[in-house]
Amino acid sequence: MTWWKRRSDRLDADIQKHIDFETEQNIAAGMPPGEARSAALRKFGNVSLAKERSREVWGWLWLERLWQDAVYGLRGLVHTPGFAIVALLSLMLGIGASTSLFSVIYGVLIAPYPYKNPDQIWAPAVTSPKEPSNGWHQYRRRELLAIRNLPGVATAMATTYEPTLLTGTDSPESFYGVLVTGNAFEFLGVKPLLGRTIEPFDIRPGGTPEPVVVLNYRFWQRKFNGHINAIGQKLILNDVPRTVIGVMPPRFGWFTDDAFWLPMGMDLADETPLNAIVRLRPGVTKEVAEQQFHGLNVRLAAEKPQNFPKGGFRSALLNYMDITVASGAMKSSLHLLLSPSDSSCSLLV
Amino acid sequence: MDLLQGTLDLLVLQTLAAGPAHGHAIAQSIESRSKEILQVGHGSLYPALQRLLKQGLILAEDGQSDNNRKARFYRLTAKGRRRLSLETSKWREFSTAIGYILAPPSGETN
Repeated sequence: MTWWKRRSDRLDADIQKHIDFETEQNIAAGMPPGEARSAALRKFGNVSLAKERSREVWGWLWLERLWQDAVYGLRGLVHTPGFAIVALLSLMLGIGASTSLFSVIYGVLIAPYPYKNPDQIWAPAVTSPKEPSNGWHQYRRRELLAIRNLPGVATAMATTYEPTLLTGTDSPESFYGVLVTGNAFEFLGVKPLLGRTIEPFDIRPGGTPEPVVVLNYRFWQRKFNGHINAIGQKLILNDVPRTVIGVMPPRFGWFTDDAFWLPMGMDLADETPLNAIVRLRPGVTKEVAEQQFHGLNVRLAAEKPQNFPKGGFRSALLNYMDITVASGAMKSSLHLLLSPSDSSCSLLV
Repeated sequence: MDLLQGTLDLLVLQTLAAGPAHGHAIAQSIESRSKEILQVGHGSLYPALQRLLKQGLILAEDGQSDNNRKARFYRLTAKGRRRLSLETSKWREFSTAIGYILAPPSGETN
């Protein structure tokens, strides 16, 4: 900036000298000094305009003007604190609202969690004309084995919750632990941040799960301060000491965003309802697979009619993308929200 | 009479072709040599000088004025000299053409 200042000063001096010369000339021609000076100034024209035009040629005047404007603006804000606070608040609100809206839209619409080939994941559903609902149909452990045996199904996994009490720490704390089948992480295709995920060998041949636990990122941050030595430590969950084998990355929140995942035992007599999802074999269409599911569902309904809607039902496969990623009505309303979020911000201001 | 836009640069170059001069001397020279027909607002000389400096057509250096006073002198560079001759011939062509249009050769007027 000193170089800029030097150049400015030199220009000012140059112009000053010019006016001095003209004044002296006028005096020499016989004018009284005061008149001589004002005549010289008249002849020169607008001094500050000439200076500004000259500096404009240098090409950085816009920066100088920007600086002047900023100073002027700040001075204005200081003089009217009430307006300044209201303006700041509206800006904060507007920006905050847009940001939070965008983060939801980013997670749901633009970059949903990158499970492996999410468009190939399907959730079996049962709909009935009398009880219209298009939720997942829940299966039992025994039925999961039957799903895996369907010719169109390549692989199937299941998830359920289990209220879990954490003890042995400062104070007991209860969580919803997430039970997943041994193939769950392989099915989703997500790598751990630390350690390893639950693997099929974590379920013993008899169906008993190994006492291991995989931590959600937030749980790890909160209980282990994000320390790497969490791996291998013991957590007492429902009175069973379990070894921490892995930590998942921050955005992985399969059925929980603050707890942990446990291997699901395969006691076939267990009647807990499970949320099952499947991947189809290559070349198997949704319609073919739906027929196979319907066949299975009809058989299961004959055995356990209480698990199915009364008076007939239809079987469907819902694409995972349609469940987790916004689609249809949800998608259009999110898009609607997204488009005016900028204008709502400017309205606030 | 006002100056045509852009001609001031040419006039400054022409003035400096006679030798280095400071701002006030340039303004006076243009005025006296145009027999005071052209009124150069002295202020408008300075943006023109900055333009020419930026294009490398002239140089500025400190020097002594006639009455032994310090002032900034402007001097034509080789590039400025080339530009001056180019612009001068362009200007001649232009003014000849305008002259023809405004006063057609006598043979064509009946």
